[in-house]
Amino acid sequence: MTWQGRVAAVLLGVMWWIGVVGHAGAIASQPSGEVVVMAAASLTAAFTDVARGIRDAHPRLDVVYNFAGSQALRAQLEQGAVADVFASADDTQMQLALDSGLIDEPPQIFVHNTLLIIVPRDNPSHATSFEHLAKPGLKLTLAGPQVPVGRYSREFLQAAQADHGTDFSVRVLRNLVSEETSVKQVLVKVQLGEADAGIVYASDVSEKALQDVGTVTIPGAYNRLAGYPIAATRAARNPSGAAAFIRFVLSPAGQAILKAHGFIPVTE
Amino acid sequence: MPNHRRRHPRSWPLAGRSILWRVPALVAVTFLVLPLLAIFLKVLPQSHLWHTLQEPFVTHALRTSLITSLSSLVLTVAFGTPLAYALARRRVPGTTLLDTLLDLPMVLPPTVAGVALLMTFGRRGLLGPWLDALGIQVVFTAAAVVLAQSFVSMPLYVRSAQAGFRGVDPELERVAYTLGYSTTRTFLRVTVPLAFPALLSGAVMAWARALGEFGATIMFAGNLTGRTQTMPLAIYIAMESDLTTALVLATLLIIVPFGCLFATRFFARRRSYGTYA
Repeated sequence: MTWQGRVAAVLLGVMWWIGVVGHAGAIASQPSGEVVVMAAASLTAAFTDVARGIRDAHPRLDVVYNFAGSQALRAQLEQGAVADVFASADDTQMQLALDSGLIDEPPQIFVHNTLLIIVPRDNPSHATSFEHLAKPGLKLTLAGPQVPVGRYSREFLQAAQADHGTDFSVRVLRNLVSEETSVKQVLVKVQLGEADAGIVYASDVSEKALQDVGTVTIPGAYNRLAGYPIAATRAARNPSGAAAFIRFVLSPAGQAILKAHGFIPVTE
Repeated sequence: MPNHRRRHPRSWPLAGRSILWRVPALVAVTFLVLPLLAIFLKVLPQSHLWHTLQEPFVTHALRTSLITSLSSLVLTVAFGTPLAYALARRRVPGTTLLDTLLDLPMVLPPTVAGVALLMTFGRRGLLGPWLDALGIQVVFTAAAVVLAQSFVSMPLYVRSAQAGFRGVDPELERVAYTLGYSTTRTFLRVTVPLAFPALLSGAVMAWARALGEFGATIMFAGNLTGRTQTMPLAIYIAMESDLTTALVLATLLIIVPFGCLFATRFFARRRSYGTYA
């Protein structure tokens, strides 16, 4: 072999080595493995799409979800359930998780949501305005007061009292027939026509849901802007995966998916 | 010689002596009892137990549970007894099929029971239009709780009562009848007393099962304090806000059925000893 040939061979070898190590390095910094996300029930459809979006960006990351009422998820975390990310529908449940040391990084608000009244398609109680929630005999379902959407619903009733009588909230709650454990259960009870009205998030009223339910808007002055906080858990088994998930949710791609599902992106 | 073993409880069957049998048996007992013990160990050191018991959330759940489970027991006995007697006395073609169908609610997942009841008694269910015409709405009422409880617990009673009635010699009924008792009187004075231990234990089992009903109730009857929120539902809700309340309610739901089952078994055993004497 000539000396030029030797130099070429060495150079090739060095290039190959750099290529291999560099590639391996790139792989090592790529988040991978399973990331367990506990997310508010209202995020079910949107986050299922988010997982699809992440698969394109991080093919080696495997997102596993546990959807339930935020209060149920927080309770599960307190009882030792293992998760990498907690996405709550309100500050209260996130704060409780912070207080009990389950989360130690500052949570970030990643999306907003508003409230909407839903009625069955045939609207048996003829509710066309939010004031009709106080109609005697109307069967109303709300989420329980410990569930974020249940708390927001009661806050809306309180806010409306300024213009609709100090007993508006009492009169509406007199119609309450069930306190559901998550927003999805409220939706189902109205979809089945068992309840005459319910309060859910705007994002819950998908095109599919609109086949069974009609909507009644809540005036902006009384409506709540629900901020959803997200954070990695302190006991996360896959911290880089958790960080990648949160980064994606906050990225333009993630925000676009949430917007498509009726949420309000944080940038707006 | 069934009495022989009873009088000499130490004469174990051969296999029972081997350590290969005793260890798994011990594991099984521990596995079944330890979780119940864990609740007591968690609850006992808590202060304010008495205070927790007096919270409206707890007292409402207690009252709702008592009223609904006793109502479902009444329904179960009233409708289940004639059914059990008919099943015990008549062998018609298809009995096996009917028996299997009637057992089904016992083994169905409660969620299936919940959906099934919604599809039957719901506004858009099978009977919905008729119930609506009568101005009756079942879902979200205490009646829905009672229906859910009866649906899952009646088969337990029917099964036990059926076995009890089978054990009554039809010849005795015939004798009572020929001696001038009416059919109703024969049933109440001869058949029921003889089948009583089975009827009682069936009723207690059914009541305990009704008291513990959760899945079908939360789906079919909803969850509202003071109306449809029974103790199991209250436990589920309290788990998400106040663990102590959940534990106190859970303790009650262990003690009460245990007391009832133990008492029935105790009296049933004394009775059977009595017949041997």
